[in-house]
Amino acid sequence: MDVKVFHYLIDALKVAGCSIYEDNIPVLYNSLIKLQSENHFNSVYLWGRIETLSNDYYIAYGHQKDPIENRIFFYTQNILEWDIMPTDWSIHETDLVRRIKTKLYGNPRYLETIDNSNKKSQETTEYPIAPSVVMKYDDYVESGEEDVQNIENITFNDVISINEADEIMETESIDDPSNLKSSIKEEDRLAITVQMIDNECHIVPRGYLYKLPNGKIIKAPYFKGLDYSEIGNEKNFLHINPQYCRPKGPTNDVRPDYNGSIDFLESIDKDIPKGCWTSRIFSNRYFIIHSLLWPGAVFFQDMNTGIHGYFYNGYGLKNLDLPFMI
Amino acid sequence: MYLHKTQILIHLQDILNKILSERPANPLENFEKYSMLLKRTYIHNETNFERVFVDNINRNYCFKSLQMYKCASTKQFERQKQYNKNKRNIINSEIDQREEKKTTTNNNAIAKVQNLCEVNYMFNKAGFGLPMDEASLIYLTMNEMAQLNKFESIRFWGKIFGIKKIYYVIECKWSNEELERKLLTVNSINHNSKLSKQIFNDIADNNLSHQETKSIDIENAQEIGNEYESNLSYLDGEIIENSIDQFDSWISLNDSDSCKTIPKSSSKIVLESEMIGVGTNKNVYFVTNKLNTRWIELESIKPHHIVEARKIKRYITGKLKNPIKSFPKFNGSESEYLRAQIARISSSTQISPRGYYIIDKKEKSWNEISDKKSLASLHSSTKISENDDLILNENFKPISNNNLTNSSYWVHKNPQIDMNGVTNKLGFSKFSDSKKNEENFEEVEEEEKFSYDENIINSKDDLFGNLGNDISVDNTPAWKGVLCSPLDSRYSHTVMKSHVWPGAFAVAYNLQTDYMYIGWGQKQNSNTLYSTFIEETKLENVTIDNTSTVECQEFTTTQKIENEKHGLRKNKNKNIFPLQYNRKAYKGGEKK
Repeated sequence: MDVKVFHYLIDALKVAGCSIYEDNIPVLYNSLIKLQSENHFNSVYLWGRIETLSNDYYIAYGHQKDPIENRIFFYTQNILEWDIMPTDWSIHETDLVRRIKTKLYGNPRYLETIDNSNKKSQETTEYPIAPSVVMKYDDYVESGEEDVQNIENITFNDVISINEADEIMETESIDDPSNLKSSIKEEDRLAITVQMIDNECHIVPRGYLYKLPNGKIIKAPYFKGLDYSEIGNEKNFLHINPQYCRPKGPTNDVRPDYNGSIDFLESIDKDIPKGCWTSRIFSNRYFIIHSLLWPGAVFFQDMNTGIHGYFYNGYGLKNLDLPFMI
Repeated sequence: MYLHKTQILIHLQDILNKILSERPANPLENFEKYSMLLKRTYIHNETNFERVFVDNINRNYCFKSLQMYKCASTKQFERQKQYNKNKRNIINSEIDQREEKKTTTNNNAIAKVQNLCEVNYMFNKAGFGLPMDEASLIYLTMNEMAQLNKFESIRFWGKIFGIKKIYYVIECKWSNEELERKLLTVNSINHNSKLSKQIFNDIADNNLSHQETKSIDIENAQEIGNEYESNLSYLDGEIIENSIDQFDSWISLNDSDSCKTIPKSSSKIVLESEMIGVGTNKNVYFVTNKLNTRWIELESIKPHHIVEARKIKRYITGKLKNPIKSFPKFNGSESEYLRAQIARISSSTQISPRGYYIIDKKEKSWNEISDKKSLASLHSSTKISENDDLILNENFKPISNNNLTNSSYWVHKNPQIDMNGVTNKLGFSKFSDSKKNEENFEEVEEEEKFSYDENIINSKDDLFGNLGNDISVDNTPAWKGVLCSPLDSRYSHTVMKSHVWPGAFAVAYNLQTDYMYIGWGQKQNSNTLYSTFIEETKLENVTIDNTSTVECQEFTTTQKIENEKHGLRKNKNKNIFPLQYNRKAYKGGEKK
């Protein structure tokens, strides 16, 4: 949600069921504007709020030129000062985050430990059910993650919450606990979680981002939001996630009105499980898409003005039961 | 217009092209038609941007809402006129004064309506506000309902998101007269359903006539016919209710094809639904998908629905008639599932600051009614706990904000729903004397108190249990108290958010407090699915030698064990705890 349209979208946030404390709104606005000017950002976005057991985290990001690649994430708890989010983590830590299913504690320095024995007990209960889900996701992973498994330190953007197929093997092969670093700082966990959510749920309407012939990506200056005729189609919503930016050959199934400069992102209609997005129009005005996979992630658009935004408001926990719930 | 610019030749050419491509049988006869068709496409080509823009707004919706506002304003006008007239009458004559008295008595019966505008201000502060248009429409509807003279109190319960549509839920309490009427009809049917069908039909006819009279009443009450609270919805609800009551042997019908592992309660004894106005059916709920259309009454809940709803985890779709396809089978459509979820949520998340409400010692007036009817309602609880009724504590002093963020300063407002899906221990009263039960129950309660942390003071203010005693699923507290404006803690609203039911919250500020639910109607539970599978297997062993008395004992023993565990938990405080303990623990106002 762009800070510039922050005030216009407060009602939409309420409709979507994720409004923020009214008293925090002016403070947030000012501190975000300060963040923008200090870092010389082109624009700053309020990304969302992650609820914890004590103080909630507010997440924001800004970018200078490229609205996708060069985003820098910040978090805050006191909503006055923003801290930069850690960007480097090992593949191991992402594994840990995938395994943790408790709520965040609310202290960035809190050390979350996973008990090995506890994990084992979980394994026995979970794996009889989990593989079917994992298998389902397989082709989903393949889109961008094939090469990731070889690299120890993965780069900033490449995390997904989906278990890779050989992750089970990995955990079984490592027996001595010294090898396995089973604790993670909450700051890192937060960063990884945010990245996961962003990769899987952050969506933009088609036509919002525009790819110039020289490869640069800009926000389309005259984009007016989607039409009533367009919002019904999931193909008109694209993942902002760079992982899915793969060039579309003519062999792939392409939409009839394919336009290379705006269709360079992956649309959400092939997301798994099917039906993980629900879209509705509320109070005759606000169009809202909820993600069921990450409960709390919403995209909303004011149909009258075309102002739109993305927000996450939740615990930072993935809904693993989703295939059974729809 | 457009043809001016287009060359006539081009037009002719296009027509010829069309004829050539389509090759109709008699082109000459239809030549003008072709020309017209083509001309239409020319006009269409000329897109009129302004018109498209206006079309973007769904005008019908606005018209409907506007209609509602208009109705409300005319009604208000009439009421004002009536009021003025009465006022004049007082001055004029004494004879008229009697009439006036009558009207005032009528006015007194008008229901307590939640002041949504005021409350929404608090909700906004708490970060759970309703948008303006929703709030105003809901408030309007509630006022309209209050005019029906059927309800004692009306409040907005909350919103439940569904996959396709959203549900808005209004919670009402029947007024005493209305309750009386309902009980009469329900009881008569219950009583007679065991007789032959013909008799039933007769009674149904009687019933219908009864309903007719009632509908006339309604019509009187609601002079301007409009879409809210249409009498149809009432009648519909009742008819459905009745028709279900007709099938007393409903479970036995289904039993043949249901799995053996399915709910013990249903396989053995079917608990009857609690009486209207008691326990889980204390309030009646109206739902709608769109605010400016009809509100539909949800039927009163049956205990087995709650038991079954606990085992499943499914998103609500937004269509009331939708069947629920889930693995531990849910016997019913979405309306029942929705009602069950509402009951569960209200039972575990409707809270108030300590001392805000006190228990009303006076027995309800309609208790007498139920006594009268006790012969007919054989099973329905003859003994109604006094706890059911809460009244505002006039001596309530506001609790300081810092204390309000502590969960032990909040109490549950509604009784818990036990593992059988009822609140007033119906399961017990069926098996043994009521006195014994009470003793039993008291014992259990005492034990509970004993095993709880002793720092938490137990007093009469803890209506239905202190929030500090709630246990969440993942070793985390069930509630989180937050000051809404951290920069000014003195004049800040305080919000209590539930971790067990994400979306449930309660706000308090000074002497005001209220609660609402906005969410997906799902309990936060990281391992429900797995645990249900395990429990299913466990159940199989149990069900073999299960008699009613065993279950009774079992219930108390399990509770004892739970309490012990609970005590353990409290001692260990914040230690990481094996998951299996938690699974059975007392979860946020509900027992599993």
